[in-house]
Amino acid sequence: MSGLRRTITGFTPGRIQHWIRLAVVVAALVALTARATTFSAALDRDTIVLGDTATLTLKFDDGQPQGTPQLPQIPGLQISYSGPSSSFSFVNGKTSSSVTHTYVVKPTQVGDFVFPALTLSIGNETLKTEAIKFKVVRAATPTPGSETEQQQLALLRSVLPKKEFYVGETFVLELDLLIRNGVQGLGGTDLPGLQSQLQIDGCTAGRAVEGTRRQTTIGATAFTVIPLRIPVTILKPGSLKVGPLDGAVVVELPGRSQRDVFDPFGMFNRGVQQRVAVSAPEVTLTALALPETSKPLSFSGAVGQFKMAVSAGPTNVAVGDPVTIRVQVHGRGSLDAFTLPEQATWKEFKTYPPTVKTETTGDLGLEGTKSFEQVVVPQNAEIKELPAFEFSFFNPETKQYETLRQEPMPIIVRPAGATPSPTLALAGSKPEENKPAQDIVHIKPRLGTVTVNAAPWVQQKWFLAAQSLPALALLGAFLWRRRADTLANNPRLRRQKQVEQVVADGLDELQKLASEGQGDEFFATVFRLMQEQIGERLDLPASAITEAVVDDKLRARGLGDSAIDVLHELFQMCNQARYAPEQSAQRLEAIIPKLKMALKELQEVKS
Amino acid sequence: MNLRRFLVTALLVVAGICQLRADDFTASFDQANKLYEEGKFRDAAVAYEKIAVTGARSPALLFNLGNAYFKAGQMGEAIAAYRAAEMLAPRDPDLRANLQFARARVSGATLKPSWLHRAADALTLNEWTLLGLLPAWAWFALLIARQLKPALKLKLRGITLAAGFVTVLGITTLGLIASQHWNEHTAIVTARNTVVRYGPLIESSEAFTANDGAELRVLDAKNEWLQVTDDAKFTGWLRTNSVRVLN
Repeated sequence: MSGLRRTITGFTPGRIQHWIRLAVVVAALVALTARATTFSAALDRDTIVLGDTATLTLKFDDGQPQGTPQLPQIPGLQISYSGPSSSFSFVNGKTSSSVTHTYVVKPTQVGDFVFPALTLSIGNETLKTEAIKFKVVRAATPTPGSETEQQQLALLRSVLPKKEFYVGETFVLELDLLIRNGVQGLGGTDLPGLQSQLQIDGCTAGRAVEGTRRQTTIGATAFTVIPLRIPVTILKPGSLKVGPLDGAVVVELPGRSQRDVFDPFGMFNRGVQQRVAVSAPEVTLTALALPETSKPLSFSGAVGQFKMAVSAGPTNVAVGDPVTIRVQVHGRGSLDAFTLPEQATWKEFKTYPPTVKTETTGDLGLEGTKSFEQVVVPQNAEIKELPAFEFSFFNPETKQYETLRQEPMPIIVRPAGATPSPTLALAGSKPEENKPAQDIVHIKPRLGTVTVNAAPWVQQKWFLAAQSLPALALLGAFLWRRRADTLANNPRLRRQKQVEQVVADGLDELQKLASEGQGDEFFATVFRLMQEQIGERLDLPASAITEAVVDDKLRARGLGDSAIDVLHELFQMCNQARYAPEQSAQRLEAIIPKLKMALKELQEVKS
Repeated sequence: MNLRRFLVTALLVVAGICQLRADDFTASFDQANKLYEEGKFRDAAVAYEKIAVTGARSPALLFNLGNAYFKAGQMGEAIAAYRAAEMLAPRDPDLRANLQFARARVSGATLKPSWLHRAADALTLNEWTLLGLLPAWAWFALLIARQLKPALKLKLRGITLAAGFVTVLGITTLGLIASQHWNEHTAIVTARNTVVRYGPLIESSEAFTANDGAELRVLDAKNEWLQVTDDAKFTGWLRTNSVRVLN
């Protein structure tokens, strides 16, 4: 009962208010989640200057999509995603949230654009934005020298050295960025992007190089000129258009004009940054074809101004020996555009394709030296000189072809050896061989020797192992030499080795004599072997050994009784055999083990 | 006797298999040559490559492969094939002429072989091995002769010293050549206008552009990227799928 009372009395007025507040919050949250999601797209301006950028925002109120919204590709626009931002607010009991996705829009061409309506699904809802229309216009190009031009923060100019060029001619197109003095460029220059716009039909453009900055004045206003120099080579005749070119530069405008007492040196005066779109108008140039009427035979595509140096060596050779001709062409023009010209007068030489080395000077690579090394082979001993060498080029300045000539150089060609060269044997079958090679050597008709993934010898184990053989042979020879020297300096050891050999040979011979039943020779050999072995042990001549020595000397040296008895027995057998030769093979073979035992024990006697 | 008969039979079987294989290669080679003569250079290159992927190597095969690629306008592949053929037949005048001819058509950053590399390339590694080790064998022979015939020691003293010096020279040269062979790798660019970057990332800025056929020395490798240099002024990273690497 008391427990029930406690429960009822727990609903105090304060508790009730707490539950009411909680219910209101829950209701608000429910209301918040139940609010409709909205989706909108906006561009921060209606007109974009080419070279400048605009900001596109996609805003989601009270909801957000999963992931980053993907935008369609629009030709003429580069769109890159900057990132999301979000906000949450609670005002007068009303709660709202929003997520904004930001994109940077950079136009690459002028014109009217429509950013299409976007459709996205969030939860069960399908949301759609309005299409956005906007224009991209080119930055106004003020009249040169006008007051408007003087007031510009930055200007872009394209400068051509002349209006008429020849095919193959290389010139420098200069793009000058002018920044008004007092305004500071911040390095945010988008000039390198200009090079990608230099897709001039009929020309090739090289790598842009920034030149030395200089000062210029338009009216009364001074500008700093930042030149960007681009080498351009004309490829085909006709009217060629350069530009229009558009870019942008970030500059910093001066900030406070008066000195700050807390910053007397202006160290913290950073000014105001501004992105300025710049534009250079279209320029038309004329590309002329090279004249065909007066074109020399030795013209091989060189256009510019050139000088030539030719050397050759060796100049005293035999027929079939190579002579290297070195041709250095130095000058200004496109060095990659020409080859070594064919020489019609070099018929008595077999020529090989030249090697080429190009060395350019300067940042733009318009000047330099192109070196050719051509190997020529004299084909007969009648040749007295290397023919004249000619190189022609078209000079755009004088508008005519010019020919450089190296006079003939004396050469001594000796007859070749007895063996005629294969080239001479084939001479006449291919008259075109006398011309400088203009193509690769033809394919080979036969496969030849085929190897299958053979590793080099130095990586093969058998080869490495074989390299130890000479070292092992040397080691063997060394040991053999040591043994030979030891024997040469020790007569007793030498005799011991000799007797060992004599005994080994004698025992083999005994076996043979026994099987053949030759008793006389058998016992003579037995006697000789005992004399040799006992003589070696006692250091006496073998001929001085008799049966008497056995008791006199061998016993004193520690030879066992059994061995002495066997020796006596063998000596007596030998003596008896002289008078009563033993012919039985079995008897003779039975003696051999006894002799072996006796000789073995003798070898163990101290010498 | 049975063992000898078995060995002879085994040798004949192996020789027969090799001959069948060689005949097979020759038939494929002739077929590839026919495609080349018909002007079907890409098809010819594919046919030559089919032989090469079996592991078969011959100077003529690689030479013709280089020619097919050259005619098909693939300068890098052509130079790679010529360089591979050069390792087998370094003094083939036709090969040298075609390699020079192809190299002359490559502009921009590329390796300029030093005199040391040119000298090393004049012989195959096996020829260098013979050249380096023959003096060593001769030197050992002299040392052995001195052991066997001490009377010759005085007579052979000068030539033994000279042979020892030449042996050291030969082994040192062989070591340098072998070291270069194993440690220096050349990357031959096989794609047009290959962008070489300052770092091994697609986001790295462009260092320079290498043309098809450019030969560059490999300095380092990281994932799918190779660090290369022209030994003059350009160094950067490029993707492995745009080059052929020669060992």
